[in-house]
Amino acid sequence: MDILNGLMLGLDSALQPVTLLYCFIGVFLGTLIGVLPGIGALATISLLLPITYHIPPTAAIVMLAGVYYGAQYGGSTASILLNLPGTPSSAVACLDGYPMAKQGRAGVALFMTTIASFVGSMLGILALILFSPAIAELGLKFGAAEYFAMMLLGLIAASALASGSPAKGLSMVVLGLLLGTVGTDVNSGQARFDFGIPELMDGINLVALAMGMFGIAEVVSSINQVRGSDVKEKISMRSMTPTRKDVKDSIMPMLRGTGIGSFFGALPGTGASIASFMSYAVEKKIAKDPSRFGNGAIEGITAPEAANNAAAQTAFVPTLSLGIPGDAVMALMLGALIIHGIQPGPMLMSQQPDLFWGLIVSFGIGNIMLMVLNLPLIGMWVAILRIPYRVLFPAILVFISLGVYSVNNNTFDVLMVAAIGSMGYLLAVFKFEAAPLLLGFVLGPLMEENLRRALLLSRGELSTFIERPISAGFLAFGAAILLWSAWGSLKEFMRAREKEADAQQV
Amino acid sequence: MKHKDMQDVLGGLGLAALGVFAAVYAQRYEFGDLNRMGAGYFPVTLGVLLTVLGLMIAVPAFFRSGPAIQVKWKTFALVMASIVAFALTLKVLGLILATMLSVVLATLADNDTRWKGRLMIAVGVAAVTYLVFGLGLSMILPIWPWSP
Repeated sequence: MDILNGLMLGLDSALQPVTLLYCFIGVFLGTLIGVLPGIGALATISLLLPITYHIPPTAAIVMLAGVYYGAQYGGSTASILLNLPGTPSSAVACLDGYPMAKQGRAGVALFMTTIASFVGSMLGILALILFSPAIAELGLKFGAAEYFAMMLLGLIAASALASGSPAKGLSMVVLGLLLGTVGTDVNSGQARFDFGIPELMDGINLVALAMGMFGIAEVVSSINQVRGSDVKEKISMRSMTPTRKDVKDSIMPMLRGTGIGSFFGALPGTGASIASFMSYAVEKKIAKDPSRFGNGAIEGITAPEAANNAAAQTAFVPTLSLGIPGDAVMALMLGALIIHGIQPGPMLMSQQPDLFWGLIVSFGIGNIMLMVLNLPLIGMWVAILRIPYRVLFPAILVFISLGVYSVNNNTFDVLMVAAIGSMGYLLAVFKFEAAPLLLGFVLGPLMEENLRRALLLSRGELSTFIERPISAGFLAFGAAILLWSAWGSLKEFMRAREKEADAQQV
Repeated sequence: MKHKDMQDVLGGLGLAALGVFAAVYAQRYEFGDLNRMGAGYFPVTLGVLLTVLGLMIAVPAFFRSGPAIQVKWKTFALVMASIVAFALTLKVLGLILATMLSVVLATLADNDTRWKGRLMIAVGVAAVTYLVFGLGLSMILPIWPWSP
């Protein structure tokens, strides 16, 4: 099926009233939680997962995706007005957005970030349309060995590029893989790590894991956090009008940001946050006068915003074309697909074209909705920033409990959330990142299956992974990342030792 | 070196312990060989890997200083209490009362909330959950203690 036919089919499925409605709900909620610091896309998507059991699969994925890219729009609002990022990927927008607000240009900053978000998203969608079919075609040639190698590469990239040390990231991936083995083994029918608890035979509930890991830990660390001062600015349509210079200065940075974002979004393991930091660094490096950055340079907000929105769209490339999630949010999307009995992978595009193309067209529609939500209605979001967290978090906790309960109508899963939440908080205290864990958890069963199949086909010869060129390529790339990050942390370790030795001598 | 990097020491040792546990526990499953992996192959390998990684994190951390560990015990305990209370009372007390109990426990964690505000939030959240989950999504839930 060529792209044009695909888009027509997608238009047909995306314009269904049900899909449109869920698309709107998704982007609305996305903007809302993006604006609010202390609750992120990951937690919200986990909260919404149980609801998706009751709605058609296309509408469900459209809604969850809407939350994800909608949050990228909302995130910069709090960055600009409160100097407090609403989402991790909009942390960069604080650097120049908040100074702009202090100069009385908050309206312009909000307007330009929305435009940049829109441009980045739309071009990101274009990249998604152009590259996904080709990559899926390539994916059809993959056997079990290639799949295993590719997933391994994705996990290595995700853990090595996670903030903090690569060993900590890797350990989280392995812990996630291990948690993924809980439950009945598909090959032998043997129940593993069930400890005699019948509820554990089906494995750990993805919703419980995600909510425990992200929801609970996020709530505990946000309670009693001092939020920035109140929002004083009144944002009127007039105050949002940018000058001709603002627009002119933003065009090239937005395009560069989009390019950087599209690349890092599609790469497994990297994502919106890294993309926005990268594009900020690039703009600063090539600027004629780098000292303007940090003092309200318009490129300092438009480039990273375009980048993180483009990344949010191209993140769907590996997810939809290969069935390999690049980050934790995409892992949840895959989880949602599997819940609906849809097997993600290169066959998705040919077997479920209405879902695939419907989703892509809905991204376009969703972004248009986001423009409307963010420009004329910006006042509403600013007002929402005034809701105190102490009112919000008890509601979030009850929603978490009820959401998990509703999956299987049993309270065991709620207790499971408490247990996983304790672990999640402990990990947060020790500064271990939970996102690679979730990725490992979702990929674990797939990896084990492909590993077993690959070795069965090769009669137990491990060399099969190296003899097959594509698989060998993935493994070499993964090994390079590992070596590079090991070298980096070794250097850092030596430097810390030297510093300490110096300090002792003084 | 006054403070060791306790975050990584404790975290790494904890993970290593978990790895050992998994590798030992999974011995009861058939291991098999590379050609035909049993149910135990993957978990045991992961357990060993986790142990190695945990030690790789903990051991170097023992020789460097790091930030002190900060745990918000009270907040953490109350948030857990809120969820566990909800899980245990939902089927007995019904949606409304379980929600209110859970909210009251959770708000105890906040330093600025007084009893009047606490009760107002409890009633408000209970109303919202009833409207959204009880009426809106028509979930099968007991609403009151005397509901069937």
